[in-house]
Amino acid sequence: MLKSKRPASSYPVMKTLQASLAVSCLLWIGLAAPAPLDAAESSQPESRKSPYFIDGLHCEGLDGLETGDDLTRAYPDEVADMGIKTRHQEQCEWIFEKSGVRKFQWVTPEDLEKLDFILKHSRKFAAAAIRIEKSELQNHIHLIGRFEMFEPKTFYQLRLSQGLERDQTDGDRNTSDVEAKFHFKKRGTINPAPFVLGFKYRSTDAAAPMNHNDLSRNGKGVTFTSEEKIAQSRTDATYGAVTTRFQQANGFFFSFALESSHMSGDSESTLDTHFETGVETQLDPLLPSVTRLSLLYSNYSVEGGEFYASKARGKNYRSIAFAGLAEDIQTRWVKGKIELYRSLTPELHYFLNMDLAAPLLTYASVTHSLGISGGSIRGAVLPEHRFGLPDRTVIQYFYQGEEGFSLTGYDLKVGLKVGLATYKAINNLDTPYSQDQAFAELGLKTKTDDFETTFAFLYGNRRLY
Amino acid sequence: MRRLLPLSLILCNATLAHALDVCPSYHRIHEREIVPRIKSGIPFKLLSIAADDRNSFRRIVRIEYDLWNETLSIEVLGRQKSVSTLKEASAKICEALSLKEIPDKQTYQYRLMLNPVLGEGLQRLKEKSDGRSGLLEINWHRLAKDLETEKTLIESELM
Repeated sequence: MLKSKRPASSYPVMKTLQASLAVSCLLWIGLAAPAPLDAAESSQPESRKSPYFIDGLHCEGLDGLETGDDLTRAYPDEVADMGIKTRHQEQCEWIFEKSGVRKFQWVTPEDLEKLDFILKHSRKFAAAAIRIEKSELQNHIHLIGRFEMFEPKTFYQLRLSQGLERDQTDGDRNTSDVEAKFHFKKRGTINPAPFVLGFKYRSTDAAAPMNHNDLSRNGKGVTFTSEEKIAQSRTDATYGAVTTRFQQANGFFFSFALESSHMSGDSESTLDTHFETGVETQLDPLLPSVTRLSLLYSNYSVEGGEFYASKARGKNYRSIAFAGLAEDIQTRWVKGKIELYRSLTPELHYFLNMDLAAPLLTYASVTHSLGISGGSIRGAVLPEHRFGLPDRTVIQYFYQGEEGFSLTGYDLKVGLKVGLATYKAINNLDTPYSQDQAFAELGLKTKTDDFETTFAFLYGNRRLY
Repeated sequence: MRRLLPLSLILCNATLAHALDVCPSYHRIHEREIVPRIKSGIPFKLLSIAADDRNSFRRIVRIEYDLWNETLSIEVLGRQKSVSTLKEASAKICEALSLKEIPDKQTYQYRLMLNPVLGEGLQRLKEKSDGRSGLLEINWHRLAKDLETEKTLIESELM
């Protein structure tokens, strides 16, 4: 017969420890947001078939999460031992609570079946199983969870890409992209790492770069973003960025990014500094879809160039704050993200990104003759409006197929992506600037528990993003 | 000739009403895999599926154990429900998993899966649309091989 393992909190030190250390110890695990079982139903035992009353919640296998080194250093062994047990019990009850079950609650066998399914398929644990044992009274139970946690590992992501874009009118362009990310102490494939460090570098050149007036058909000025400046091929341009992201298990995050670009041909440099903080919530513990609310502050400065917007004209920097709402969608049928950022300053300034892909051939076969074992069709719409200047809309559609093979012990995937894209700048509604593009990308990707590496080569006509 | 008659009758019956006998395979895993699940007190489902290139036959069995009465409820979803003791559980469960509707005697790829993710949803889809809806065609053969599940308990070719 199990008894509650929660130690009596009569020790003053334990009361403070319970309050102050509960959040920090949960940093070690990333768990799903609550998906409470129907509380109204659960509290009506008479109307349910064979309800159980939960007398106690217990967990096995959480020891590796909390070593309690700080407690053993600061307190005598007996006190430290009790502190560690208290932390384990709080973690245990928190895990069950996030999956919809609390102590002293009525549950049905169907509720337990659902809880078992949630814990096993949330992908938060390497393994999870629950069982019930009889308590003293009829239909009173102890609920015991047995968990195996993922080992914390550093996960490396590296992407190298080379682009060759040809255009008879505007000239050729060569682009090199390098992107690296380090996810420190990441547990498994889905739990967010407490800290992520990223680097981006891009260099590009073009024989005949475009200028701002190419987008302006009605005499109004146009300001390019740093991405656009690089993308539309300034002479000998380079772009670099450092990104950091701190994430807590309770969903709060803080990120900082520093982006800089330099156009040698124009003697122009830009510096964009971002701070973003907010909270992420996983509404359904079975789907790794994340809803994010955030505040973003951006400071954008230009040296050797100028802003064309009426309010920003003459200044060489601009500060602006945004409220953001984002949804990362990871379902069986659709993967992608929708992001909407709206300026908190009076002038119109917002941007909306939609990037959704529907994977094909997972469990359904589609009539096509490409003969590739797995594939997806992606549609991306990236409209944005910056600094009071024209809306730019980028629409991309492409088919991406991948075929896996094994080489010297590594599982590799060779992928082919073919697509069409339209870039449209609505500076003048009668004659919006637009450019169509066709492209193909050949990629080679390998992914293990420790790293993901992608090499890609892109060929197409000139693009503006 | 008289000696051959019973044999020919047996063969004839087997051709007309062939049932995929999963019991020999099931009995081997019952004590190791199923009994601990039953005693955990958490209800669970088993998906018994046999498929060839053209057809698939499935049965979903839900098992629930009452800790106080020590009785087992075995429900073949969409069909019948029975009550059993732990002692006779092996025979009752394997009887519930047997695919009695298989028409021809041929080789099938057979899987017994613990808590399949899409079992019931796919069963409904199959019943409603026969797996076809415009452009998409459900690949049942692939599903029988790759369906996401907590654990594949039996995977073999059966006749």
